[in-house]
Amino acid sequence: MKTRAAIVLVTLLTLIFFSCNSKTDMPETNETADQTFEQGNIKITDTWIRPGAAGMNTAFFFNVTNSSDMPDTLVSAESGIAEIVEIHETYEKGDDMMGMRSVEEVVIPANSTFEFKPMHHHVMLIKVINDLKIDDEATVNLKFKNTGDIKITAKVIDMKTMKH
Amino acid sequence: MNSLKENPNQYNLLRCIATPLIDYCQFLSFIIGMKQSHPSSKMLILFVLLIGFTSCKNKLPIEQDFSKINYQLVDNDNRTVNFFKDFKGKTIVAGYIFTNCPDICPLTTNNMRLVQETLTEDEMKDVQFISISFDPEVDTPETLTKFAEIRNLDLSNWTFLTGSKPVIDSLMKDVGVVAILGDSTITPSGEKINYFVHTDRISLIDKNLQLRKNYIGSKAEIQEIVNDINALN
Repeated sequence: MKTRAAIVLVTLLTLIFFSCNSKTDMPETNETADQTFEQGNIKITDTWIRPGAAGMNTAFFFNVTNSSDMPDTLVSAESGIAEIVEIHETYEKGDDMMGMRSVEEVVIPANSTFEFKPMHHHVMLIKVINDLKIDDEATVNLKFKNTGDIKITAKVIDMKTMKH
Repeated sequence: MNSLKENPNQYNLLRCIATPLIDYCQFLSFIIGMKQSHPSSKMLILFVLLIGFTSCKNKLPIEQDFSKINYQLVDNDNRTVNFFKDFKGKTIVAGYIFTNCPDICPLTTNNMRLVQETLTEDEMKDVQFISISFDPEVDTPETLTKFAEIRNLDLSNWTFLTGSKPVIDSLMKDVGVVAILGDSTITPSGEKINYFVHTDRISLIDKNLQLRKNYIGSKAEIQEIVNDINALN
C-alpha cells in the first residue's frame, strides 16, 4: 500500500510541477541574412537590423569570427543611415535594472566568434535618417584595427524571438 | 525566505508547488486510510486530482492594489486616459519603456507582442496591452505611434501612454519602476539623447486593478504570461 501511495504521490507531484510551470520555448527564428562578409581572417555573419523609425534609434547585430591566431579589434562603425553610429553594450545593474553605454572598442579574441546580439554588444544607430522597415536593407562599414574596413549589408528583420 | 520574497517569480513557483504538496500528503493519508472500506474512493482521488490542477490557477497572489491610484495620461492617439481607472474590467499586460532605447525596450515590447499573438481570440477577450513611457519629454503621442507603427504592432487592444513628467515620475514611483538617467549622446546639431538605466519589467494586473505578477520584460517567458492571463480570466 505504501509503494502504491508513493507512486501516486510522485505522479501527482510531476503533474503539479508541469501544470504550474508549463513553458513553451518560442521557436528561435533564424531570419538573419545568409550573406557572409569576409576579409582576411575576419568573417561577419548573421547580420540584421531592428526596425527603427526616422529620427529614432535602433541597433545592428552580427557575429564576428576571427580565424587568426592574433586578436583583432572593432574600433568603430559608420553608416549613412543614421546621424551617429556607436558601439554600445547593454548591461545589468542589479534589481532587474538594465542600462546601456557606449564602448570605445571591442576586442575579438584570436580563433573565436564574438556575438553582437540583443542584451549584449550592438552597433547603435542613433537618429536614423529614414524609416528602417522590415525587409529594408542598409549598409554599415565596420572598422577593425588589423583587418581594416569591412562593408556589410544587413536586412531589417522583424524582432527575433530569443531563447534565454 | 526574505530573498525569495524579493524574487516574486521564485517565491510564487515554490508556493505553487509546496501548497498543493502539503494538501496532497494530507489527502493521500486520508484516502489510503479509508480506501479499504469506502467504495467511492476512486471518485475521491479524481476529485483531489481536479483540485490539484485548478489550485495553481489561484496562485497568483495580489502583490499590490492599484485600484485607488489614478493618473491622467495621454495615449498614442492624443486622447486623455485615466490610468488605471479606465482599464478596470480588463486584464492588463503593462510594459515600461522609453523609445530611445534600442535594445531592452524593443525586446520587452516584442515579448508583449508575442503574448498578444499567442493568445487565442477567446483568451484575448478583456485583455489590454499597455506600454507606458518613463521618458515623457521625448515620448510624445506622435513618437509613440511611430514606435508602434514601425514594428507593425496590432493596436486594437494595445495602448501607448505618456504624460507630463511630474505625473509620470509619480506613477513610476507607485508601480515600483525605477528609471535613472545614464549615458547620453550629443548629436551634431547639439541635441542630447539620454539613455536610462531602468527597471526591465512587464506587469500583469487583474480586472480589479490589482498587481498579480511582475516579469523581467526583456527575458519574459511568453507561455508563462499566457498561462497567467488565462489563470486570471
